[in-house]
Amino acid sequence: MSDMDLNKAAEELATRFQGSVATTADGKFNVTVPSESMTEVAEVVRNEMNFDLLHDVSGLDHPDSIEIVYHLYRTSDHNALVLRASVSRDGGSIATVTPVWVTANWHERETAELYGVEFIGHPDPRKLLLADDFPGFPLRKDWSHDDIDSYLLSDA
Amino acid sequence: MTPPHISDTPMPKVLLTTVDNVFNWARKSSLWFLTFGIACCAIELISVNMSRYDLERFGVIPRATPRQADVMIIAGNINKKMVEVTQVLYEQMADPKWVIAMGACAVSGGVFQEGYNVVKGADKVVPVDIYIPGCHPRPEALMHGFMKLQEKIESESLKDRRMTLADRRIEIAKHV
Ligand code: SF4
Repeated sequence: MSDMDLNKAAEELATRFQGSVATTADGKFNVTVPSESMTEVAEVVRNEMNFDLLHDVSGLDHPDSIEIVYHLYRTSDHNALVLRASVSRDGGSIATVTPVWVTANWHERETAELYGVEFIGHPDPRKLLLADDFPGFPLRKDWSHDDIDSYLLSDA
Repeated sequence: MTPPHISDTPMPKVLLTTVDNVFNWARKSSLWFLTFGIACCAIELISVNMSRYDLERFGVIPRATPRQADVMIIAGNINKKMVEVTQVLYEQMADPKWVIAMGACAVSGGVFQEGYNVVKGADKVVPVDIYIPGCHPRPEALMHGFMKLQEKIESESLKDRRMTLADRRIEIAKHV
C-alpha cells in the first residue's frame, strides 16, 4: 500500500470529521478536528494514513479555549502532519491517544499538568514533572500565584 | 594557604601545634564533594575534575555517596521537588560539611528566576558557604571557589558551632 498523498490525506480527514485544513508557511498541513472524535481520528491517521510516529503533544492557550496540538510524522516518506483540537478552558477534556501512539503517554501527562486538560482514558494520569499539590496550571497565560515562593519552600 | 604552625622544641621529633590548625589543615586538604549535578553547570563541574584542570591536585575528589562527602556543590536550579531531595542529601552528609552554590541559578535562580517552579537561590534550602557567579562559571572560577572555601575553613575553629539545618529551617520560616 503506497502512502496517501499528504494533501489528500489532510483533505480527507477534514471532510470525514467535519474539520478544516490550513497550511503553514513551511508547507505543513494543519488539520483541525473536533475534540469529540479524537479517538477515531487517531486510529484513521495511524492505521489508514500510516503516520507511525507522534513527535509531540503540546498545548496552546487561547482566550476562550485550550488547543491541543499533535505533531505527527510518517517514517516511510518523511512527511509531517499536525492535528489540532480545541477543548474548553474550564474542565476541558479530550480522549487520550496513548493506545494508538505510546509516545503520547508522557506528553499528555505534561500537557495535562501545565494546561489543565483532562485526557480521558489515560493509563497513568498522574502529574509528570510538577509536584502533586502544585497550584493551578502554570502555562496558562492567566496563571499567577502571589505567593509561589512560600509554596515552593513549604516543605523546606 | 599557610601550613600548620610547627615549632621546633629542644626535644627532637616533637611537633607543637593547635588542634584547630591540625583539623583545619586536614579538612581543607581533603574536600570530597558529592557528585550532584542538577543542571548544565554540572558539565563544567565534570570538566574541572578531568585531567585538564585536575581538581584532585587540591585534594578535591568526587564521591558518589553523601555519607563520604564533605562538600555539596549545587550546580543548577532547585525546583519544588528538588527541595526535599537536596535537604535529605545535605542531612545525610557527615559534619563538618560545606555547600558551594555554583552558577547564577544556584545563587539566585538565574535566568529562570521568574519561572513558576524555581526556588530563588539554593541558600533558601541549605546553608551556602561559597557563591560562584556565572552562567556557567568557568572551571577556573570553580577552582577559585574551592580555594576560597579552603580559606574559610582555615579561619574556622572547633569551638564554633555550625548552623544545623534545623536552625536554618527556622531562619527560612522567618523570611517566607
Ligand atoms: S547558571 Fe547557567 S549554566 Fe549553570 S545551571 Fe544555571 S543556566 Fe545552567
